[in-house]
Amino acid sequence: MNEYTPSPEELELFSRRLDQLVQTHQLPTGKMDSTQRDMLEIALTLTSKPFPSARGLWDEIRTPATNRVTPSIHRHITKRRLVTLGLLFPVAIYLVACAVSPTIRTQTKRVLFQIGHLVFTNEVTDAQKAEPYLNTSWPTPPIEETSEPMVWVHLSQEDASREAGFQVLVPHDVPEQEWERKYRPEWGNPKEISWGISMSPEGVVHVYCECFRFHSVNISQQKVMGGKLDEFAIDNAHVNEIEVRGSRGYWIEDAPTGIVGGGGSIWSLTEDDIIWQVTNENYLVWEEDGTLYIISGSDELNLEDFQLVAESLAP
Amino acid sequence: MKSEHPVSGSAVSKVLEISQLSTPRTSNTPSVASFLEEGFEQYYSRLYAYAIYRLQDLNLAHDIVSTSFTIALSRSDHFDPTKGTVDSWLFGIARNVIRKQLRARRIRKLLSLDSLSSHPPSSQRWVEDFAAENHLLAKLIPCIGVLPEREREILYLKFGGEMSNRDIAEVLGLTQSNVGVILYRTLHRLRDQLQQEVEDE
Repeated sequence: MNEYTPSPEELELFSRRLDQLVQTHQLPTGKMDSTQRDMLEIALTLTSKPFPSARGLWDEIRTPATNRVTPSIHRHITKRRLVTLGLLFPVAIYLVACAVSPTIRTQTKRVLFQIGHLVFTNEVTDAQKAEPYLNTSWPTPPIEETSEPMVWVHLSQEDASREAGFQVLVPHDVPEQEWERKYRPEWGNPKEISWGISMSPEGVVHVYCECFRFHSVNISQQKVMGGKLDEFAIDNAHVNEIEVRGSRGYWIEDAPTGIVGGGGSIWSLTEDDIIWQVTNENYLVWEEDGTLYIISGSDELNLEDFQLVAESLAP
Repeated sequence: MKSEHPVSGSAVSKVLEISQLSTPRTSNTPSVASFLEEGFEQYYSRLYAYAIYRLQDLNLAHDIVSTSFTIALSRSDHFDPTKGTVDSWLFGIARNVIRKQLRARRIRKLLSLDSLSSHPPSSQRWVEDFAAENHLLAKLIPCIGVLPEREREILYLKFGGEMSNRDIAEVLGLTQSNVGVILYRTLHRLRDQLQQEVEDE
């Protein structure tokens, strides 16, 4: 690295040129060697970036920030991005159980309904169990300061179908993105659908649909397994038996299965300041041709929204 | 390359005005909230670019900026000009929000929940639509990816956040001259890497 050490004069001049470049978005003029010219070209490239319109967003942000203790936009944001604990894997359940508070309330377990290999019960949810654990100083691995994108096992629809052993369906229609339509028209058609497919080691296919602002849905698809039943706790969520795509299904409303993080102070915001809270989520569950489908998403999406997505599912 | 949103002169002067406040605010001094409102587009664009560089995810970057502004506005009374400028305060908030997001990802990984949560097609979109439009940027991204964290952070704050060396120094707890030297060395290193790539081709 010593070869890159400039003299103080050189450094000062270069820093001035960089500041000029950042402010004007143009290459500074003046005599300089080719190496510095190249370095400034690189700086200019990094300074060039997309700038979407921000005025609508400002209006959206300002109102809740002045009127509410917990701004809804913050809630939406975290809700979409943070943990969805509705379908915890066994290892997660084990970890949570190890750290869970002894004060967790107990109740008489009751089976609410069964569909496919899933048994829905009125027990406390994994999110409810996880909340005290997440809000303690129980040591978690240190955060990795990295800007590298997450590594996702992205599967094409064809590959996912082959590995899962059934035809994976994807959404072809979504509720209109009111927020986007109003504030971000340059982002294109609010009905434009963007989805990605991943698969868990257990063979559950997840079609993540990021098609409407702040309201993503996850569409789980899994072959109905014979023999072993899996339990899914939803506490006191409202359950209604309905018809979905001509099959028997259930609409589960306000299940406390989500968990979001937030809080902390400005000047002393640390990784440990995060405060986790359980949030409600909605589910649409049905079995169709030997496959169990579960659409999960924000409680701000209603049955009509979920049905729209469900009806649009197709190869 | 031309900027679509050149820095507004009035916004800059306001930034300077408030960044030079050395005493606690009185009723006569501009509030940070009104300040942020007036300079919102400028701040938004800079924060957004910084967050994109950090996370390489358009939607997540958007969320980070929204969250950062929400926090900044709801806590604007806590802004203390004796501790730093609005720039360093706001970017410090964004940086912490990103760290919290990364921590949330960590917890998700711990709980094996990644496959249940968001799949980020926007990451791919970013690379395809944005970086690929610019040949040099497409080549730069992987080179930057292997830089040490501190060097990357400084690049992102400087060219994404368009911050001064002084403000970057405040955010990262470095000296101003240290930031300048790191920037110089990092750009020099990137230039050499690119040149090496050209020669290899």
